[in-house]
Amino acid sequence: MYNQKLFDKIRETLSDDTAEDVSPFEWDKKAVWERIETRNSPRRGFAFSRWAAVAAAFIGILLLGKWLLNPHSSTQLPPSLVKVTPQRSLANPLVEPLKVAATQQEKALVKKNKSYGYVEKMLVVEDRWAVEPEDSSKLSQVVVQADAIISPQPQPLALLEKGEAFPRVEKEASEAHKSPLSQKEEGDSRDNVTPKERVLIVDIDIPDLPEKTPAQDLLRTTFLERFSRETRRLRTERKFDLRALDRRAGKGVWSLVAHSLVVPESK
Amino acid sequence: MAQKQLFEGYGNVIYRLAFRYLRERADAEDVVSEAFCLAFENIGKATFQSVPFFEAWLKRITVNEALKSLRKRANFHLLSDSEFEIEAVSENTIERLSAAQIWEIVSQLPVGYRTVFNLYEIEGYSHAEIAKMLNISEGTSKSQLSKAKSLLQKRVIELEKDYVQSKIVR
Repeated sequence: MYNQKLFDKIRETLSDDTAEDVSPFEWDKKAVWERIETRNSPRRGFAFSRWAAVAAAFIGILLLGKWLLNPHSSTQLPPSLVKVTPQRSLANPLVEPLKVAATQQEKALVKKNKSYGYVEKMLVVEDRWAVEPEDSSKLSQVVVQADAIISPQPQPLALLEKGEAFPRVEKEASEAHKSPLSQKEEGDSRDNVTPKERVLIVDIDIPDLPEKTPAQDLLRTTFLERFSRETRRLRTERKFDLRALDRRAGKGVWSLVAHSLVVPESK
Repeated sequence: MAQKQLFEGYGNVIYRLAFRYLRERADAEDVVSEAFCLAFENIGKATFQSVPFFEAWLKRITVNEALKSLRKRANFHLLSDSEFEIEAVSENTIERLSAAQIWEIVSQLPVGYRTVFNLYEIEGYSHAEIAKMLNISEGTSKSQLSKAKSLLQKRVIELEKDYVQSKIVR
């Protein structure tokens, strides 16, 4: 080939990895190695994960702050809850009988859900059924002046705390369950302008327990005596066993082992 | 540290290889660091029967990275219009050529010529492989090589003329 020697020399020169006298070979080896070391360092991944954790924490704090500043906007009403519209006017307060006993329970509920402004419907119904007696003829009525209801324009939550809003919730649904006394009270309360709170004292006859037969008493007494005697005997035996083991084994590792090996049969 | 030892052993070789393609010290250093990083990341996946296999693998990575760098700089273009007259170069001239002069005339070649010349003459790739690597046809690769050689000869003859003139002046 034409000028083959020239190209052979060029090839040899360029392929020679050991030549040290050529000027372009001066390079910053240390800096390049530092760059490689930095890129291959395992701390690089650690640093990234650390920054990711910091970023996640920052986002979490932002979200928490947003929620704390405006909790109502993010609160959605679940389907199991019913929103109670508080009674605005106290001109015609509806205070049902038997509410005094239930009011304290409702107060606790309202305080618990104060930030939401909602009351659980199911709990209100439970209060009503739990307190109302079956026989309303045994009820007696006491009317007490309530100072707390005098406020002309109470706030909705204040109403809820006083238990004023609860009777509205199940008013229509519970018409059939109302006692004659409560209906009478509704009529009275419409005529009376001054808000009142009524307290009922209920006399409920508790049925007597069935009388015990002498045979039942005898059986019970016999069983208890026998049981206590047997228990006392076992306890005493066990105590003696432990003392005997203490004397025999002395204080040391063996005593610990011996204690763990004590069984009722090992006498 | 094994990686440091590898870098110490092959750093200069790889730098020279990168410099042959890129002609710029900073670019060559970038390619060296990139090539070593890739090698260290993938060294566990490869098996080498002997040291020359590892060296060839490392050089291949470096060549690929150098070509990538050339493409990134968008100055990787091929010349096609210039024709050079081929002249005979005397043996004396060839003998007088120093390594530094050879490096200089090769690095002064246009990028396309230099790349094909390096890939074919030094690395030993075939025209088909070069065509695939550079996304050109085999004919283009051949013509680029031919022109690169012509230009090299021309430069060598110019060097010889300068040498003769300097002798006469003295």
